[in-house]
Amino acid sequence: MSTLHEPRDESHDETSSGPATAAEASSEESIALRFKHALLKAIDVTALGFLEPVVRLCYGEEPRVQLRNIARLIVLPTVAFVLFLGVWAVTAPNLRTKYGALPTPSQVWDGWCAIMTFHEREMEKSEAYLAEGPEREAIVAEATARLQLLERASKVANERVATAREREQADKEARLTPLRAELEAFESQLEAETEERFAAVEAMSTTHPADDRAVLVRELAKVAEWTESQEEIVARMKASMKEIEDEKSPALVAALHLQTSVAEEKQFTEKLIQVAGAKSREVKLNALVASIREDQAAHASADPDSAYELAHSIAKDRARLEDVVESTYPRPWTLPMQIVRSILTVFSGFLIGVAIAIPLGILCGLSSTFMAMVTPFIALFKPVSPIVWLLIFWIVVGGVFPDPASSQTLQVLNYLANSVLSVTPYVGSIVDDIDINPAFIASALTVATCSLWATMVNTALGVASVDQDHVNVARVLKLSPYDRLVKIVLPSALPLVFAGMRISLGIGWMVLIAAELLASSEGLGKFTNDMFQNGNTDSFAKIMVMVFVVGVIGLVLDRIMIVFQRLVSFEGSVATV
Amino acid sequence: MSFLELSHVDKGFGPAADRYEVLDDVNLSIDRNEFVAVIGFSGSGKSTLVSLLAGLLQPDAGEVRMNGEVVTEPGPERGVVFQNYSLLPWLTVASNVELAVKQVFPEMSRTERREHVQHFVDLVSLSGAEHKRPHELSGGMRQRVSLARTLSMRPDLLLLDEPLSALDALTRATLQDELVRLWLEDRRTVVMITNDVDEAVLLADRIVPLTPGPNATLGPDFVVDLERPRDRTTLNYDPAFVRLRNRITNYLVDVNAESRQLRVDRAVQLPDVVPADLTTV
Ligand SMILES: Nc1ncnc2c1ncn2[C@@H]1O[C@H](COP(=O)(O)OP(=O)(O)OP(=O)(O)O)[C@@H](O)[C@H]1O
Ligand SMILES: [Mg+2]
Repeated sequence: MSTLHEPRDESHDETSSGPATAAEASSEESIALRFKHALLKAIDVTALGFLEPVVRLCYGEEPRVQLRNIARLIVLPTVAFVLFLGVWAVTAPNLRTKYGALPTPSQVWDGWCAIMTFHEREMEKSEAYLAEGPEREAIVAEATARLQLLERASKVANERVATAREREQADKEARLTPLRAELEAFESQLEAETEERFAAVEAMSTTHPADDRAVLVRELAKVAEWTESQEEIVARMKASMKEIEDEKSPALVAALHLQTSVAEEKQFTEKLIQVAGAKSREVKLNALVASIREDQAAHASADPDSAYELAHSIAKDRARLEDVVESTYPRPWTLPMQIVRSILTVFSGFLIGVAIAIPLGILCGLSSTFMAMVTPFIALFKPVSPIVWLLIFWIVVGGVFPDPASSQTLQVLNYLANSVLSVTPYVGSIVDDIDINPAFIASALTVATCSLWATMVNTALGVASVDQDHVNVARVLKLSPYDRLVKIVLPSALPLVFAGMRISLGIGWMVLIAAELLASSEGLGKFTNDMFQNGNTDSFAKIMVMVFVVGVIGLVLDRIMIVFQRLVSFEGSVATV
Repeated sequence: MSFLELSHVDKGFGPAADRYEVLDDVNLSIDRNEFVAVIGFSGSGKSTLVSLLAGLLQPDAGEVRMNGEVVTEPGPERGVVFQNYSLLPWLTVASNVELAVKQVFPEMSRTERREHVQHFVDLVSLSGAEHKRPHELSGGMRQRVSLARTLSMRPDLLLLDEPLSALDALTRATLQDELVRLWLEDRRTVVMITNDVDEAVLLADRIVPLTPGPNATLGPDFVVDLERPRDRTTLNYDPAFVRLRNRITNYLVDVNAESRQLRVDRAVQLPDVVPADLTTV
């Protein structure tokens, strides 16, 4: 920690753990104790306070207190979450919308699985495309074998759907027939009775005295009322029949589910065979090499007329060869790739924002005149909606890169970003090309603009509220203005600077999703929008998946910032275990 | 000409309309290598006096002169041990001291500097706590770090603002002895603020009382002509010590009573009203 403020060689952190040095005997127990202290410290720094009672319980420290804390910090929140899932699962099917009922937790989970399956299949295909030799053949062989299985499975699934349909149809028929008969009987009876009633009123018109004409109108109204009530009954009967017709039996739903998943896998396997087979890089390369060889052989002994033709074709094939060598499988954007891109965008924007906000914040903190000058801008620009900023940046960035495909700046940026990502563990295998384009830049700038205010204001506050006593120390020591800034002002402002940065990153993440959605810059925002636009049956569930994906990533980002914040806060609870 | 001089120094705080005059016409001259204790009540302006001597504050009227030159700004030749320690919380004990050493002795090599720092850390018996941060230390330990930091600057004038007030009696006695030893070793001029008469008599060559504020000023000097080294165990039986201590204590008690008197006289006359007893209505 001290490295933040002081050169490394002066810090001997390993010797500084207080209670342990006393027990220099270094018995087994003291090592265990030291480990416990380290654990508790780590928990404290990462603000994962709910783990503390678990650690203490493992060390047998006041078991009753710890159990109570575990109940309070772990069990109750879990129960609350489970309750939430329960309420959600029960109410969701009843909340019907234009896009179908609200997805239940299990449907959302299925959505997540579908998203990940899609990703894994795309990864498999792109690996298959690049595979060579026996490895490639093994892929083809395995896939072919699998395809046979799948064909059988598909037949079974189709049959199962057919029987389920039939059975459902029969079942519905059995339930509907009596209802239909009932309805028919009711309707015919209704017709007869209606006629009867009208006839009765008609008869009244002759028997009744002429002076009481109003009674006829009254009687007719009564009949009309009665008819209406009868028709309502009919409608209700029809509605319940319709409900039965619309019902989908669980068996049929399961069969359909199986059918689609088998069909999807079959389609994938077929594609895999192609990609690893006839359309694989190796096969294409071999074909080209063979064709070049052939042409070359012919060229050696060709007459001048065809020699030109052959040379031309050789040159063309050579050029294609180069392209094919470098080619990869054209993978669509999948969720993990989009997550990587979103995180890259948010950090790009965040860092741009921080790079602007901290210097300005320091100036504001140091000079109240400057602060007074800047305040109107903060007040004016801070409340502006990210959407407005995005549109502005969209136009500006579009103007700066009128032809993105040939822009050298973008190529350099892409090269840098891709080199960094390709050596990042895990990420490197997911993303081939992060594709930094104007939409990316506009989204990042929007994030920067919306998020920089929190850092700026907090930095200014931190710098301005440097303890007067510390300033006095600096004055007595006659520190130069630069030393005063670096050795006194910045270290004491750092906790607030990081608090501001934490807020900024949170705002940035929230803004980013909207910006990506609007700029249709590949990322979580675009993924969500694509799901909304394509309107599949599971789209709604997939959109709900995004709630959790975005939420969890936001939470992790926040945790990371908390750790930084705690590491730089000197009077916080960091060191007091 | 004396080493350090205050002549007709006034100091107040606040806007002109509502000014709080802390010090009024303070005159003091201190010789080189003299150990002067300033004793006074809480809030009388002792810390303000230290700030003036250090150059952290400028007097409203009058002058502070050191070596004949008017003090206009603070500097490391006038080391201050602040009342509230003023340690930098993000630095370890050693780094706090080192910050000062680096600034005052830029020509030192790294090893020299480290030894220098260690010397002063050891001096205030904080060996072993070098790598702790201020918030991990007790109040007394912090005070000692502050003392080590200031001593390490080897200032010509040492300004101590109640440097031992947060210590328990035992540690306090040790540090008092330590202070005297240090001072005897390389005599430098010391102005120590204290609120403990015994401490003042034990350490100082001369004691200057500060009258209670507002408009505090320095009272008559008490010269301590007890022989050095003074032994705290036998001192209590020394009639000269007892006499001097009683004189100072009596003076302080009198001057305090007087100021109370003044304050009462100035108090607003309250109207003679008795609150009505509403419960009986
Ligand atoms: N910066 C300031 N602004 C306004 N008033 C101040 C300021 N500094 C000190 N004062 C006032 O000056 C008076 C003397 O303060 P000072 O700190 O010098 O007292 P002190 O004798 O050191 O007290 P203590 O023994 O409690 O430390 C107090 O009444 C205080 O309110
Ligand atoms: Mg004071």
